Amino acid sequence: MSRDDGTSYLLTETQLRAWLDELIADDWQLVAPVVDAGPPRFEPVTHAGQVALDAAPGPPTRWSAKEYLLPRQETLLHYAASGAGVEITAPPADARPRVLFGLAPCDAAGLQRLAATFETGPGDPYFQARRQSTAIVSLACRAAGPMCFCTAVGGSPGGQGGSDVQLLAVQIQGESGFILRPLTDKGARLVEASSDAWSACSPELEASAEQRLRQVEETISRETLPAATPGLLEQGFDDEVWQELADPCLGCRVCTMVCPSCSCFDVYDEGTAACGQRCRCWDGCTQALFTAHATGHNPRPTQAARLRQRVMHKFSYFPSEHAGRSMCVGCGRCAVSCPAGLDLHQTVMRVLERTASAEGAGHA
Amino acid sequence: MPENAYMPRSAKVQWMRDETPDVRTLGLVLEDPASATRFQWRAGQFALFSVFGAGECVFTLANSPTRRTTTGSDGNGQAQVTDEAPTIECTFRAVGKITNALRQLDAGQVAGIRGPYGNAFDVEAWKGHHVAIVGGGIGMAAVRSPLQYVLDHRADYGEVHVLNGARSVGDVVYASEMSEWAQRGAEVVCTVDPGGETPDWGGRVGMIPAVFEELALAPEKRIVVACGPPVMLRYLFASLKKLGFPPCDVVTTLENRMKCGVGHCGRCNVGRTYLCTSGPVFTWAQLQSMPEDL
Repeated sequence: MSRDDGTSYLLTETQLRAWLDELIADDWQLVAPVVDAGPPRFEPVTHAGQVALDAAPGPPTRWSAKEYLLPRQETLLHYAASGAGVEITAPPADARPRVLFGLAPCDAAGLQRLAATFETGPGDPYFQARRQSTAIVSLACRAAGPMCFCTAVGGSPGGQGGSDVQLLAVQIQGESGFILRPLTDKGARLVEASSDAWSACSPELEASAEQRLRQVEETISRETLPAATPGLLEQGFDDEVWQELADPCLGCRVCTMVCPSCSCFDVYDEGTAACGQRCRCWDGCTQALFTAHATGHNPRPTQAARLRQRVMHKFSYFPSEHAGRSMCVGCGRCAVSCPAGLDLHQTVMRVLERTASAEGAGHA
Repeated sequence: MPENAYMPRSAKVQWMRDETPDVRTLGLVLEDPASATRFQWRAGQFALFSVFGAGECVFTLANSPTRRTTTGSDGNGQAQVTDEAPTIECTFRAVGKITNALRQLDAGQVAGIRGPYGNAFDVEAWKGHHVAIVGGGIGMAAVRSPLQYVLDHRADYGEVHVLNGARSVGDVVYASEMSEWAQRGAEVVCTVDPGGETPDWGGRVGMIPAVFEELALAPEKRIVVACGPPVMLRYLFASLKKLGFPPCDVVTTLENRMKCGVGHCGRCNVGRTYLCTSGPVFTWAQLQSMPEDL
């Protein structure tokens, strides 16, 4: 997948938008940040003029672009009674060529984590069909948002993980322009029809763009999580601090909905015994009924147990199965959207503090 | 593209049997002969059963792979299933939307089945050992498959004990099968919780852990297979500890809510362990390294 021939191009904003229009004309569905009277969001657009290239600092939208790989709700199968039996059919795979454009690097990394979940075991044909036909173009951050903490979890404002093409905003003689770097074979194919008209980017301009990214990185002040975080959190599994941390949590799941890497879902039937569909929709582990058995027994009976599950999954369980990589990408969306003001980075740091002080007490 | 794990196979209800007022066993046969032949399972594995329009629910495959042919009532008398296609049995308690819909199914009606999933009891490794099977309430459904397997290879095992416990006499699951188990060489003990007995009750009265202790089984070369509500397991483990059973010789099977069965939906994990892909069968020794999130 990786393509490291170092090619990078320099495009004016006009050239960039022309490229996007060419992709649309070439039958790609272009999903991009849209900023209008409504909240900034990722949405399919019909012409490049609708694409916001200057969205807010940090992740450009309140919701990630996750729904274009894992829809909020989708049909898994249709069923219809036929004679004495039942006919079961899967809907056609959604393999429409699609470009997810303008994702922040954390978003692209988040979708990579999402894919890691769905590609384990027998895989997931619904998700994988979409992912294979989707190309991701990320835009490096020009400024960090107030809740950003990508650098605390191994990311950076110029991170390339999960992107097929990376864009870096630059100024060319006072005009807005972009360095465009194809990163994968898929990314190379995305630009091949248009790149003849583009000029190569000079090493000097590349260097100054990289310098600018380092400056953005320095504005992110959240403390880096130690490499030992997965084990340290596990040591703190029974700590009473979870209760205190979960006290404000309403169990509303908005953190899991806006998160680019949260993958939990529910499966349910819609219809009658005669015909209908089996669907899945987003669900979240912080909700009280998520694990409740029909008998009333609930293995995670308290909000503390449910908040802990989310934190442990992101920062302990997932990393220990994926080469230490945090499932959380530090986009800060959960903290921005939480009605109770919970801040995931602070939550983790608080548990780590407790573990450290427990260890200290143990040694004393 | 990978095979679609979410596509169930349709299965026809062959017979129904009420075990208790709210527990029923269904005998199902997959309609497509090729799928039926491919459906090979091991004792302890589970499947997702669905009623179209109501949804999908996870249950242990209640019969042993050695019991592919079964009989039961189809509502009009005895129906014997002797086809090449195996009967897949599912014993459930009607407590929620899907289990109540399953209970409404009549012979000839269709349910969905996908699986089998998960690991299995290591019944081969138990050969040469004594086996004690302990089931509390509907938990008995999850240990019936290894029980049948052991009884169907009776000569390969030492003593076989079954302790079948229920809240009350009317709640004893598989009451009609206990004589068959005894005939095949199992020492069968049935107990009901204090207060759950009737004047003519001939079995024991007492909680499962206490009755198990009264059996005074020596732990040497003995496998204990237990399934029941979390509170029963907790007290049973305390009894087993007192009796000197090593945790590696005690096996249980766990059940949590599941939506996918393949490790994706994020629902069944206990700590880092997904019951669907790493379980549902665990030894007591393995449980000790898992958080108490049961």
